[in-house]
Amino acid sequence: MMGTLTTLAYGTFRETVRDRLFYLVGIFGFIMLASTAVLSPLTIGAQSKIMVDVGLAAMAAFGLLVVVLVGSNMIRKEMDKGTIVTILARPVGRRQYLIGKFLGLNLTLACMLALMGGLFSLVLLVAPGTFSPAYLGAIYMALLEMVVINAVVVLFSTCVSAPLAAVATLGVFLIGHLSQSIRDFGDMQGTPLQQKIFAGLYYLVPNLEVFNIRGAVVHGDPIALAQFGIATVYCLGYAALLVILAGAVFRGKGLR
Amino acid sequence: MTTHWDMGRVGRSVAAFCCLLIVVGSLLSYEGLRRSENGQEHLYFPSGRFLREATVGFREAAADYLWFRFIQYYGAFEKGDNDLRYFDLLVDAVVRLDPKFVEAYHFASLVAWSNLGSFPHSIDLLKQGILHNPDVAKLPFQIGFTYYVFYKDYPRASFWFETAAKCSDSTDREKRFAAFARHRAGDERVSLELWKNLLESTDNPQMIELSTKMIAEISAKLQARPLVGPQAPEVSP
Repeated sequence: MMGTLTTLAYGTFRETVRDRLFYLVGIFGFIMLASTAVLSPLTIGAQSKIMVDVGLAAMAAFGLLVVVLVGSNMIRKEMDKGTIVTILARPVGRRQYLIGKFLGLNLTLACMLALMGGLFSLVLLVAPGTFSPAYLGAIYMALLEMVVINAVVVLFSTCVSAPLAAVATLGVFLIGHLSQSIRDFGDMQGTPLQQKIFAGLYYLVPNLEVFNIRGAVVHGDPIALAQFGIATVYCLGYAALLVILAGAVFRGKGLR
Repeated sequence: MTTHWDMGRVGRSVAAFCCLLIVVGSLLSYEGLRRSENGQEHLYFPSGRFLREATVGFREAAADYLWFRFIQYYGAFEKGDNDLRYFDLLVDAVVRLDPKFVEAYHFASLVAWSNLGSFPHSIDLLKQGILHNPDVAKLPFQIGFTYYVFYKDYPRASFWFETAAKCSDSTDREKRFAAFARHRAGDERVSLELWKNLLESTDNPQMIELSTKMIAEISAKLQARPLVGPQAPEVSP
């Protein structure tokens, strides 16, 4: 089983490389250099803060772009072309196929973030006094966030069309960052039933703010090691839940 | 020798040139229109509260973008293109998105007193910054400086300089100003202790020289006076 998963994951990774997805890393490098050379002199004393903000935000934004654009199309494309039937005709289960695809895109994301993180660190090391090892923690958290979003897009791509899956995933990303507001809104409701409904909704949608430590690391605030542990467990648990759910949906799907 | 003209290509080139003229002309007209509005500002800007929710996950980067907008806006004011009427709105948006943006509070406080002529507003902005950044010396120091230089309120100035001196990123500067302000406020016993404290903590030869001189000067003054000297009144920040 592991061999099949590895093959599927590696195949997905190669497909993204063939799609020239890594060109985005080049664009990221350009943004980093531009923020250093062009924007820094205009920032009035906040050079290092802005460089780090731009770098970390660009990494997260590119990661989201890759997950939404590639992830929403990944399974649907093979379904439309009919190549999925060829793969599933071999001793590959539907669930295995989904997990393989999911792991492949995660591998792509990990490689992209590693490359962008390397470039980012290099630029900061050139500008003395701006690099902090905590930034690597923020990059790791961004990867965890993208793994959760990847699981969301895999679930949506098994049940709706690619554009709809992309829009729905973006919607979950937005809600995920506003989930605390859902809880606060629930607390403001009058009846206990309404409060329970909103509390349930809060636990149902992913809380993506768990992974957002960008602001804290930029300002040098301490991050407890436990937060990394909790975030990792939360990410793995949530992603696994969604992939299992996607597998259940995908099993009942008729393929042409 | 005859020149063969490709009429289709010439036509396309002329059309492209005309389009370019239209684009440049439109932009020039737009600039003219903006100039003719003469001081009438048009700046649509949502509130900081809305922006905080709308910039999901990218709040700090959004704050940086608004910071650039603020600097451009201030630059336009310096050129006489606006009257800073949206100053508060922009600053509020920046610091709501990133409450730890120390530079924003600091620069905005400078603009508040130097361009808007409002020292209380400047101090309010700095106090707002201190609430979110209690361990940054720059902000209480700026308040102390405002009281010291503009209000000549030395007891209050010394309170804020001492607050700045207690911050983890404080330098000799904050301690020196605290000791000077206490001296100016007439509280020479506390000033003497602050100079002694500076002497013990500094490695800077100039600071060592200055604090040694001040300790000798104040000690001599205190010896010539009765034991209970005038004390600076207690102040509220």
